[in-house]
Amino acid sequence: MAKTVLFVDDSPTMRRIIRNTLTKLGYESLIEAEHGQDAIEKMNGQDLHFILTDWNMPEMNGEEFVKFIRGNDKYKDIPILMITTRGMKDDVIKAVSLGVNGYVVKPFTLDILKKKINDVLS
Amino acid sequence: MKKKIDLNTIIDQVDHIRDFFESGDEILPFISDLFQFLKDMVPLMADINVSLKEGTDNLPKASDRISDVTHTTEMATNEIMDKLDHISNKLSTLKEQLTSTNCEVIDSIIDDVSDINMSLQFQDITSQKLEHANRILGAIYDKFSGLIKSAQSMLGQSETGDNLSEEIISNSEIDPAKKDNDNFQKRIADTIRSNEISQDDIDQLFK
Repeated sequence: MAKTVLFVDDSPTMRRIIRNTLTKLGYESLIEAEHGQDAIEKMNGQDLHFILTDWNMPEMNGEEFVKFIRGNDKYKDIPILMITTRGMKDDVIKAVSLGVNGYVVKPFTLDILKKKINDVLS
Repeated sequence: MKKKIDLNTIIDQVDHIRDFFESGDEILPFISDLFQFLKDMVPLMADINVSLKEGTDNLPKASDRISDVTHTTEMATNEIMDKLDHISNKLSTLKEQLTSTNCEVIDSIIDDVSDINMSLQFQDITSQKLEHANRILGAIYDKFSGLIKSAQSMLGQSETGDNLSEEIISNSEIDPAKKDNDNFQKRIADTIRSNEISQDDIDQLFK
């Protein structure tokens, strides 16, 4: 059974880039969502391999989404890689405290994303 | 019947009058100075009033422009990505018809197309920076609107307040030389860009 990856970003441009990149990396089963709330609705009943999420999003932002995942028995062990433009040290420290497994500041390259995915899965 | 006033009472009253005038002599320079200060303040307050009104009036327009830029670049980026996907698909089809030597060239071109695709992340990055600037503009707009309301509350409270307000409003003519707010813009830009760390520093935090 194909491993499903969920990626969450409010930017259509970024979703398309992430989708293309994940496809290149061999991930075929992909779920994309515009924000945290959308992701929660779409991930219901899915066996997720890992999650990529942006931070700044409407409705439910990345911080709230990660809190939801880590506070939910069903999903709490899913690795999370945060991909964001927020490159302040305080932001990264906060993300670590929330329980994200990896953090990438945009823009990223295919090689960086591949390495970070491997890191969060290892 | 007329009240009889003795000499001591008259002397006391004269002393009081003299004290009053002596106090007046001391207070008068202060009052005069205060009025001069208020007179000097009127043009300054008029300038502030103009900047406040002009800035506040323009903020929603600036905010709309920023949102337009985001929308336009998003549409354009999407079109570019469509074209890039189209090129990649054509190259893949072409690759199937060529010899292995030419395949390497085609693969190299496909990689280049992929790199262009990745570079288009700039659209989201700039959009988020603009969105940040937009939020700052929104906060400034709210603050300025509050200040204007506070200034208007001076009207109708006292005759002096009314006169002062009228004086400020009548002096509120826009001087183009005072429109330069580059320094303010630089400070805002610095606020957005300061304190960023590298990916290597981030990786250290996960070790």
